[in-house]
Amino acid sequence: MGPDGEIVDGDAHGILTRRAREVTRTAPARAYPRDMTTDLTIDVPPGVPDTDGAGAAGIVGVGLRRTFGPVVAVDSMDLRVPPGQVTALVGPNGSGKTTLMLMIAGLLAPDSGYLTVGGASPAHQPTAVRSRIGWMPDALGTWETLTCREVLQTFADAYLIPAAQGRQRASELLDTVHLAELADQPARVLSRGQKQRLGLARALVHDPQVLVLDEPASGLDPRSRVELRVLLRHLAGQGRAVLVSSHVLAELDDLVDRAVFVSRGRTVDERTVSSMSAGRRRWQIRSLDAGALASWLREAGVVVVGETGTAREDDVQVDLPSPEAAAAMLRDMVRDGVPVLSYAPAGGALEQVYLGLEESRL
Amino acid sequence: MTTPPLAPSASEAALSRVPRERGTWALSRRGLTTVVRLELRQRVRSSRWLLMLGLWFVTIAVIFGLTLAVIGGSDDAGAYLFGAIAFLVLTLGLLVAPALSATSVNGDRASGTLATMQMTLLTPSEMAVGKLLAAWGTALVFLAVGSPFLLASLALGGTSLPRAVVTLVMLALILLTVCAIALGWSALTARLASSAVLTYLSVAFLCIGTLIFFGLSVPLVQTDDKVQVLTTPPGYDFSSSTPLPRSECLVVTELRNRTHTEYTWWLLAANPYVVVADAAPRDPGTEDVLSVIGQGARAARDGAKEPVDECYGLRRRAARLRRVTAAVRSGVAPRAGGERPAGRARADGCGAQAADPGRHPATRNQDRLTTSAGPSGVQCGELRVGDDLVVRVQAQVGQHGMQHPQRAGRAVAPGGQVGELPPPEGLGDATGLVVAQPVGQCGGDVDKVVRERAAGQLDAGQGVDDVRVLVQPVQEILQRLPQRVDVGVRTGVRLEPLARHDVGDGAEPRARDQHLGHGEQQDRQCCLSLGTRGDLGEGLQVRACLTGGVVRHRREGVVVAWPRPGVDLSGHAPLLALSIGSPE
Repeated sequence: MGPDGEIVDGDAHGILTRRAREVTRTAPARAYPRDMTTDLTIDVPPGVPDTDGAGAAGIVGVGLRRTFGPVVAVDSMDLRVPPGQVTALVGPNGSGKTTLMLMIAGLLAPDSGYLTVGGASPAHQPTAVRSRIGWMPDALGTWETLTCREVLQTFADAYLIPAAQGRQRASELLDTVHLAELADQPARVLSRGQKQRLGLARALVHDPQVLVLDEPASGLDPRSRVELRVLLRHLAGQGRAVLVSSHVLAELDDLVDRAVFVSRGRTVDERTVSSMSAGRRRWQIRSLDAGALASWLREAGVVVVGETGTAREDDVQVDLPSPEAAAAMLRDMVRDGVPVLSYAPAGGALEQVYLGLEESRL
Repeated sequence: MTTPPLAPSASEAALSRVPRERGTWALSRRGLTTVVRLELRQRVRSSRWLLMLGLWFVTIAVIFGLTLAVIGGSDDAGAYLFGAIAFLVLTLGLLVAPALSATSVNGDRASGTLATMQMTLLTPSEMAVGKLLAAWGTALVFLAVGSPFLLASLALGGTSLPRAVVTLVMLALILLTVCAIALGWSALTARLASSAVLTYLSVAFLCIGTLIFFGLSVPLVQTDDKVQVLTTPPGYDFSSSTPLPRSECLVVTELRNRTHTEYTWWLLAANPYVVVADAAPRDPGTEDVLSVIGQGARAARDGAKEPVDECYGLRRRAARLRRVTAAVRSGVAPRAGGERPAGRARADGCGAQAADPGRHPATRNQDRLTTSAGPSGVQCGELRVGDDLVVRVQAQVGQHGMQHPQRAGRAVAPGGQVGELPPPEGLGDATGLVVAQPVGQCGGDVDKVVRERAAGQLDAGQGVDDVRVLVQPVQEILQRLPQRVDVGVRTGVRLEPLARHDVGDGAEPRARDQHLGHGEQQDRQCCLSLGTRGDLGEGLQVRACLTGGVVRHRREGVVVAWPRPGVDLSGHAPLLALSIGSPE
């Protein structure tokens, strides 16, 4: 990100408009009557080239801060959620994730900082932001007495979508989240996971360009998680910007492209998953002959890491600087006759980075 | 890193079309319908709702039944019942309405649905107004379930349609206000219990708190003032029936402790009961609970008046006097003084009319004269004075020929003509009142029928004995009537003042009253006196006034005019005149 505060790059603008055109093409046309709409004027933070399109069709936050009285919930957060990608928001409890998401949703105003969602400012263009953002809060809430179909139709109405179109959209979404069979059941009979799926469908009613999901996988059974992952990847593939927060880091590995790490109200790191995999990480080795493995490692000068108790007894964990180093070490071990049974990254890439950040913070 | 400015810088790039900014206050029909439908759907589908409606209906039905059982017998049951049911519906409505919307906003917040709705394109005002309309609509359903009882008491009579309509409208508006208060608290407080308690406290403050504050404020507005007091002049004879003109009252300045509620009455204006009671047009004579509240509030607003009127005694204010003169001419057979004809027949039709003191559609503040003719050709008139009094003039027909042969040789009025006394407030129609027939006649040379018989109904042996004036209140009233009725007759006619009421109180009928009673008991409690002042302009006249007590409690004041013996009633001077005016 350019901290210099200058607009010098003519190319940035070109990229932005090109991106914008792509997004317009991929995102389905919205259903609002012509006379209700206006052309969106896109805000970009001055001096920051919008290379990834996040300014026009995703989320850009710079230096966000929000306090509740003496409590600083969000101190200084930066994030970019580019379209076409799934971005994870990762951080410990109380790090300000939910506050940040509420600010993105426009339900909280930042004390200071710069924020655009889908190219519009939640503070100044709330209607534009709301029409472009699909928000799924972590707290499940729905009208118990209404049927699933009525819930979705009500939201379609609330988004001022024409009634016929709203009905059709509700049916499609019920199929998408596999609630068609329960479509005419009151929402109170739904299980937690089913409610979660209904909540996701509700967030998609108005076909939003930006999706903000707070803990979408909590309460879902394994099959639903897989389906959620497929659905979110599909939505991202359509050019939408998706922001997901979760505590379950392992399941994010396969889902997200990027991750923003926050802690104590600050953004501490922001990187892509591929860069995480490419960097230093911990590998876990299991051998048929634990003694042979241990002596080999000793001879090769590889330091065994990890306190006892964190892994199974016969597992050994080592820190390796890169995937290439890992591959070379495996080749050498096999060559030297160490009976390697399994050789894999210990934990997910996100988890590794996250724990690494935690350690560095301590 | 430098913090970029908050204000967004506009870029020319247009991404796509988005909904135009709607702002906080935008209200669209679509948005409102969405919110209202959502709210009503949730309400209708909860079983609690039907239970509440059922309880509501049963409560009102039970109280309606009890009230009807208690006051059903009286003729004013309709008005009393209407007031009582309106009071009840308002009370219950004030209890139910807060429950309908006291958790409207924070309830949604607690269940996690508020934020998701806020994220849609609905504006805050659409959500607030929609919620308010839904709550009000629900409250109106309660009102509708209660309204059959209001309609039933309306059907019992005694309540005018405008009063009923205004009362209903005001009830609806009060419910709207309470729903709005509840909605406001539910938006301001996070906890469901807090908003419910605050709402009920608000309603309690309006209903009871205003009264308490009004009461507590009384010492603050009490002052010792030098005020002018009108007092009765010393030596005034309270038993006298002569009016005491205001100019004769003495004005003295005294130090009085007065309560200036005119400075604090506005505290009452916030009271829902006062609002409803004061808005509804008052039906004259009704003393139901709402009317009483309304009158009380009005009295508080008037506050301390000056001068204090303590000049008691008969008063007649010229400005308010309605002099309605029903003149009866002639047609009255002369008889020996004090004698009463034994055979007496009431003029048909007139009698029936007089026996029905029921409610005729009153024209407010307008005197109305109706005349009718009985089958025997005797006409009678009914004069409706304002909203309170009916004055009926009837002729009594007697069989003179058979029973009073001694009348032979008396002069008989040639009459047949009804005149009127002085315009403009006399009878509109010269044929208005009474008897168009000279009577007559037995044994007779002199007492022949002077003119032809009108319509041929009266036989030669019949004659009009006397003319009766009945003064009746239109409705049963518990208070003293403002009007008094003066009955003036011309010279040569004797007045016989009488009063009677429907239910005997055991008073001993006096001999000379018996003929009048139609079997009813006589009552001499009326204030009726005979004076010697008159208005009819032909020398000395006799005057009877019926005031106050005469016309209380469905009593009727009756005056009978008799010709004095030996008096020739021929001529054109009217026989009888009525003046109705305020005693003050």
